[in-house]
Amino acid sequence: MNIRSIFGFLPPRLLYSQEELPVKDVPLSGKAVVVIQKVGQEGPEPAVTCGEFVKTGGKLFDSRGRLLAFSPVTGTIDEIYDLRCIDREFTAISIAIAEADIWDENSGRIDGYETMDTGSLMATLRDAGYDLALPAGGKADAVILNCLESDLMISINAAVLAGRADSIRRGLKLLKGIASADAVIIAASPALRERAEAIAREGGERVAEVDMVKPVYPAGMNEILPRVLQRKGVRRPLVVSPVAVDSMVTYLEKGFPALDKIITLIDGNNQRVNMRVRLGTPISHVLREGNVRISDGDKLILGGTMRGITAFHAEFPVTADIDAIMIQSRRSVVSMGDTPCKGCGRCVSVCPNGLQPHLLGRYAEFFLFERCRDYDIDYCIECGMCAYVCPSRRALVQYIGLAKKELAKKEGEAAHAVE
Amino acid sequence: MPSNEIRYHNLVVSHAPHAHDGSSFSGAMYTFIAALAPAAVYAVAIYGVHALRVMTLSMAAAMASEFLIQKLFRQPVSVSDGNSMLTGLLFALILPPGVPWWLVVVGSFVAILVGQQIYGGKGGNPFNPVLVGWAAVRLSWGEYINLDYAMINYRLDFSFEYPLSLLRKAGVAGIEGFNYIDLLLGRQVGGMGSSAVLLIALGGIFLILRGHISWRIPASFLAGVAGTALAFWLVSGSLYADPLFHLLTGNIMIGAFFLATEYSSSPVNKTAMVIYGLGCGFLTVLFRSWSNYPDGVFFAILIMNIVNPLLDKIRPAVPGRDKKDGRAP
Ligand code: SF4
Ligand code: SF4
Repeated sequence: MNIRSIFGFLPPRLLYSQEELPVKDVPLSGKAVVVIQKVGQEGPEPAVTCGEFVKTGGKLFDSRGRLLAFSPVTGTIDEIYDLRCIDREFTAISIAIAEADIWDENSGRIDGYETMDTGSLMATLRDAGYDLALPAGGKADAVILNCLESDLMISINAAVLAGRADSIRRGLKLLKGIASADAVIIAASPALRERAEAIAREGGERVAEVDMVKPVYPAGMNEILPRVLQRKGVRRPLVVSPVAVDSMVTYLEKGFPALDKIITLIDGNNQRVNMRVRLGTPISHVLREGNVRISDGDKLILGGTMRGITAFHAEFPVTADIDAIMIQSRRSVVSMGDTPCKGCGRCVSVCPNGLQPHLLGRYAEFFLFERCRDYDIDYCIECGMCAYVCPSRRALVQYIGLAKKELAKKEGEAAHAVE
Repeated sequence: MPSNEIRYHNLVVSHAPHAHDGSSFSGAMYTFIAALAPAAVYAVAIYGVHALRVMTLSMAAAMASEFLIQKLFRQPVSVSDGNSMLTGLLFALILPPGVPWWLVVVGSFVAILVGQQIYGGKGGNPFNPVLVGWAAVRLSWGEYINLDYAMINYRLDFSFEYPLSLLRKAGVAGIEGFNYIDLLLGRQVGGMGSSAVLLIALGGIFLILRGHISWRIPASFLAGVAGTALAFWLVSGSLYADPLFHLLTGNIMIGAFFLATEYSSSPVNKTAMVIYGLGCGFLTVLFRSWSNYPDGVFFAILIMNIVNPLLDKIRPAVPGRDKKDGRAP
């Protein structure tokens, strides 16, 4: 992708996809994999054994009785093993799918969630893995439904908004209460205007504002969106995505979260299609169903071009936070490295947070992590704009990631020492 | 038996982002050179083979210096990115056409070695390398690049006297003979290419449109010159030249568009760029009015190069940042 005008004086404008893609249903594969991220060396120990029968929506607990995950399918657990994906370690539970879904009768509607007080509702949600990013103090001035996509090339929200309008509307109402917010704002690109309006009205009544946002990356990042709204002065928002709201409502109403997920599948020629996939489906199966081939030298990206993470194998399952699976063919793989910075300042001119990416990169390169902190590294949202425009092709975001990790490690050690 | 064995391909793994806008440093350098090409052609048209000689020699010397220094210090050789070629070309364009060959070679060599490589190479230099080379020859063999008599051997169809020297020696009365259209079209004595004021400015605008330099530095540089010159002129129109004369003579255009904007020695933040440009313009007119040097552009830029790191401390506000504490929430 090379979006640069002949008259390059405007900063590059990376547009989110405005196209609505057809949705293809992916049949269940023979198995589903549930992954649980390990924390530290031990990680939570799942209290399941091979041969155990699980039903769709059934709860999987750890050895201490805490809810770990929901089974997305009905079948028999056939293997529990360790799985790595890039820098993260997971415990994987593989389930051989036995038959058509049998819905777990132990998972049911969360009783009385409509009348619960905010504290217990939030606790209920947190137990199920829904951590609401409420502003400090617990009160938000607005709930913003972020209908822009999470990255370039992805185009799932049109389908989500169309298919789950009622659920999302109910969810927004609930969130408005939880956050004691004064307003609900549906932020969408012009292409989604009608879809957004449909959610903003209940009967004849308007229950939310619709705010049209220019679909220019990185407007769709939760940190940026409140600043680019037409409505000014939103300072302490609760920003949520349609997928998350829908999943949350489904959990409250049925006792288990949304188990199907729409993702955009992008092949090596940038051809795209949307797939409706059961969570836990191995990515290799999605690729097969989409007739997407993968070969040596390609990149397998979970997410989009600017922020996706690359995987080194295709046996990782589709999880709730994966919005796209993208194959980048070897001829379009960009390599970035440690060529010295020339001080041209392009990175500075595109950073949405007004940071100094060239300095962050240089300091990180020479292990001066504390200086990175002086230069506000904590405010970097890793949007990737700086590395996208750097003529020296410096791996700026990777340097920044390194510095953040080292700083966090140091802080962890310091906290440990105090104890 | 189900198998969760992983089938590996040789996949490429890397950090985001997975796209790039296609820009490159060498692309920028060759665009700079292309932007200077009209002025170079102009120099050859006016001064013939002498200009060609100085330009090719200067570029070759700069490139050879970079190659040798990088070999000597076991650095990866990066001559092909066009940076030293540009340095050599810019150095030639600010010289008179008749300079001796050794001066060109020494100047280019100093520009690359002292101006750039001893700071760790491209991107590390605090000063504009071209101007470091120029300052070295100006201070050591100033008479060879003195523009007062440099053109005396050429058959020119315009005055062979350097307008800025006339201004300094004879005051405003001395420059009455100059027609501003002539000055704009480059019919004036100066550096062999830098005197092509209009061509240089057009080249600079091309660079801005292509996104290789920000408009802020050239614009504020020119505004600084105009503003300061206006102030002087308002004080005494018979002692000091008018702003337009200043803008159209000497090295202001090449300075504003091509020298002050050198990546490593100029600021990257918006406010800093404006202050830097204004400072360059202000100092230029100050030197022109009160110093011994007819044209102060190069020293003005070198001085502002020193201030640059300080200026770049003026950073934009980070949204959501608590000013007092400075840490993330
Ligand atoms: S990745 Fe960070 S430093 Fe780079 S442009 Fe985005 S916010 Fe700025
Ligand atoms: S864009 Fe790259 S070369 Fe330019 S200042 Fe930033 S890091 Fe340095």
